[in-house]
Amino acid sequence: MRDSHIDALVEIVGERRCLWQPNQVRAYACDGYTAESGLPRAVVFPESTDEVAQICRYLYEHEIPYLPRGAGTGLSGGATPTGGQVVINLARMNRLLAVDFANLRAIVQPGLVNLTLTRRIAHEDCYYAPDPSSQSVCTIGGNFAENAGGSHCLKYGVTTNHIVAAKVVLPDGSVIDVGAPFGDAPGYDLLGLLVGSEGTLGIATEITVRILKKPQSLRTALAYFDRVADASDTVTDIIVAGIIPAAIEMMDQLAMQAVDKSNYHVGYPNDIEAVLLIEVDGLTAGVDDVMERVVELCRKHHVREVRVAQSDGERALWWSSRKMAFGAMGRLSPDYIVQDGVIPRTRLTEVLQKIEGISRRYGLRIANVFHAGDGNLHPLVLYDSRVPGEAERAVRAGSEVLRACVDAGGSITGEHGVGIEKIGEMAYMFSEDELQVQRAVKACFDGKGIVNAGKLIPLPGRCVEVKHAREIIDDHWQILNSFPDQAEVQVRAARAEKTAAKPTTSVQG
Amino acid sequence: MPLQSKPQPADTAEHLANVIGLHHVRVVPACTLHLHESSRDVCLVEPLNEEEVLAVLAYARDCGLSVLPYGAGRLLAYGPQAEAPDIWLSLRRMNHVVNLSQGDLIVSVEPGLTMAELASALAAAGLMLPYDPPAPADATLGGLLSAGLSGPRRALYGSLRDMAISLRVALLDGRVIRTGAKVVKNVAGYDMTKLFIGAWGTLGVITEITLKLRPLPMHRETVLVGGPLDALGQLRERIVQSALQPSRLEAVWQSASDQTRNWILAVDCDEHERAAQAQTQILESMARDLGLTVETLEQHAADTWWSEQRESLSANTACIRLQGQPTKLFSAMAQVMEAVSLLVENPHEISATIGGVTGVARIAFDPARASLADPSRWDQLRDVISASALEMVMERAPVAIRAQSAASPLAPGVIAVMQRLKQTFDPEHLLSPGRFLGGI
Repeated sequence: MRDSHIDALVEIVGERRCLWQPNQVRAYACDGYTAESGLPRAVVFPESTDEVAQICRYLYEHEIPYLPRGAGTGLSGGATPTGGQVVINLARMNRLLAVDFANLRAIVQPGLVNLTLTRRIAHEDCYYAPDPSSQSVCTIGGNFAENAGGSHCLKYGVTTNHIVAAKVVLPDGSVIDVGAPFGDAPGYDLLGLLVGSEGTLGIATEITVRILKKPQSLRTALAYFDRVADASDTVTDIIVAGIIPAAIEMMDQLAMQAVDKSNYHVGYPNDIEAVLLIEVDGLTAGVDDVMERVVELCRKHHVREVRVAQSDGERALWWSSRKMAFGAMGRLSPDYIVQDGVIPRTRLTEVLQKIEGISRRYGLRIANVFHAGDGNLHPLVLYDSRVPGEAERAVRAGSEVLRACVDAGGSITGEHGVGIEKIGEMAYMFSEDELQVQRAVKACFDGKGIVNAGKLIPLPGRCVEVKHAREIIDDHWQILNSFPDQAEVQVRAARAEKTAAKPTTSVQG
Repeated sequence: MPLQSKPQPADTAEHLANVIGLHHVRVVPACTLHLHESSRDVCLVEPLNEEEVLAVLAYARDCGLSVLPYGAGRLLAYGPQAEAPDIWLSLRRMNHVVNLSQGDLIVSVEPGLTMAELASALAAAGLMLPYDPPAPADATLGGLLSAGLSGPRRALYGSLRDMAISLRVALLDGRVIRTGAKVVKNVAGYDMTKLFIGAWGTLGVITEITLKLRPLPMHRETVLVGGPLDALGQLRERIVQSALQPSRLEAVWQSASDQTRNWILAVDCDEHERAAQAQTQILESMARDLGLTVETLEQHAADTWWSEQRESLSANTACIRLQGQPTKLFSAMAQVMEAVSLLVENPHEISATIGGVTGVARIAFDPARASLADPSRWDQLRDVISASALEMVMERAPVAIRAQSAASPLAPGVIAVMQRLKQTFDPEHLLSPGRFLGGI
């Protein structure tokens, strides 16, 4: 329902850039993590830092919860309203503000699409290195919030290694500059803290990134292994041999079956356990030697067949086959959950065995696609939501996979973020002290605790959470009444929090 | 243990040694620990493990004593000048490699381990930390991390903030937190590791550091091109615009005496041999085009050359860091050097480097007595730098000069957030008081 707060937002951005009717805002009820959703109170589309600041200032002053959003491709619910928040959509702030080719820096607005930046600087043989699979649609602001990774971060690092400075609107609407385009900014590394904070500490409205010159040459190989252990040992051996490939990706048989049914048919043998996609880059004079070495190491570990791409077309097919792996799961199963655990690379074989055990115990197929070079696993738990109880089982199986990763000394998420999805697993990875300190850091930026609240860091007690949801319902009954499904969403969100806050055994030693 | 008044250093030492049972506790004048400190007596404690660190912090908190966590003490002339704290917490004895995983390219170390000690442990496993800060080889990792210093290798590998993935930190309230995770990729929770890098020990005491590593390059090759700075600036631009992949790209000051060759542009390559040779050939032809001469160093000779540069930058009593676009640094440097030469006794003892990719330049020198007595002489240098739209940081300097540049360069909004963070971790301001910015 339109009220004085909506009027105030319209005052800032105009009628056209403020959506508030239920049928208009429904598209913003969740991001790429679709298991939970909630209707926003309104969605606003600012076009400048000043507008973002005005919006934040107004909302903060009136204690109206809000959250930022980019393209909504996130996979953990970071941009999902839990109900009743104002969504600040940065999609219209999509300009490339400046490029300095002589010094290799670019300044972008947060809504600029990742791949668009690379395309716009390609004429000078430059590119932006972080390349999440969603790079053709995801925004650099979203990448900033999630500290996005990609296939090439083994050699080139993740988003935090490529963002050097930013203009940030803090929760209360004040604007600060953090980081330094060159060298280091004085004082605490606020930029480092903001990157990956999932929109809970502030909104970046101008982002300065490092751009790189394209490597002179690439060589890409595809290697088929009868046994996953051999593939895994090959990965370790390549790295121990002093070679840091630009990327090493692995898929298991189930994942191969899925992608071969998609538009990107490679024709993987149906009796191998693993395929490796290995890419090396650098000066033309050197890449063939390095690739030869890689092929040798594959052979040493009983590779069935190893091929080096003979054309750009072949290389593109292999990469598309890998990058479309998530989407291709639809060919095998109506629903799937994608996980994002990280393990020390040397424990790959052992953890894969554990995942196989989990798959058997839950009676659910799990396909494995991963950035093998940096130990970042993407197990895909396949399920059918039409079968009663199967979705819940899939969630539990996914959670167990993450715990197996933590038990191996790893992390619950390498690049997708915690969001809503993995908030329950945070307490498995971190001790209560560690979580409490992170909450205290949040309070340094957002004393009222209303900016993208309920994401990333689990709140201490579930009672508080349920009470919080009730307060929102009480405060905003007039809006909620106008959305028939809203109350239900609220209760669902509260229930999700409740489950998430269930005490779990921490492995903290 | 509420006490009426702050215990004297002797009482502190007595308590830490006899009640808590720490082995390495002494009372010493602060000036024996670092040249620039006062002659006031302080309590020096050298804990052997995290538990002992916590015991010291607990005592300090209970008695309201200030604590200075430090390593080898190599970087204590950095930052604003402040009174000598009550307890000097040296982490030098916590100097073990906790875990080295060759296949995972990860090492966990205690903070008192020096760069030299780490490098030799890693080399034995065929690994390296691609980090070459302008500091003596006996500077500790904890100290370097807290100072947030970076060197020429930042051009390709990033700075320590890109390599440190996980920490253990002892907080003043007795809690120990782990930040990040011991895997190369992790986004669970806030990236708390970043908060402690460059924090000068004002938020907590780091007790373990986990770092990402690289394999030792199979081949090292450095090309040195001598010439006047403007020609080297052109060469820099061609290199940056090419597909070459220098692991370091630094202009290094030689001397004022030979105008035709007073700078050297050093281009380092960590690629394997054939690629490095190709890179050298390309560089030779670029240099020839510009009428410049080239010398190539390989393997050990290249390593030695770089470590000499590092040492000469860390030897002098003052060091200025400039930051900005490399193109601007190259064009402004002649004027900057001229302004610096007015501040020194002997212009032949200036060391200077300009990062051609990093955009970080450093000038190290020994200020003349007259320039210390009359700080207004430094204004000309400041004017030249601000006219070039470069940022200047006084990295280390004698007390008189540091006192001069105490003004914080931070905007009020930024300082406010930093002060809230400080308040959260150290509400009594007991950790390294006054040695940071913005009164922290």
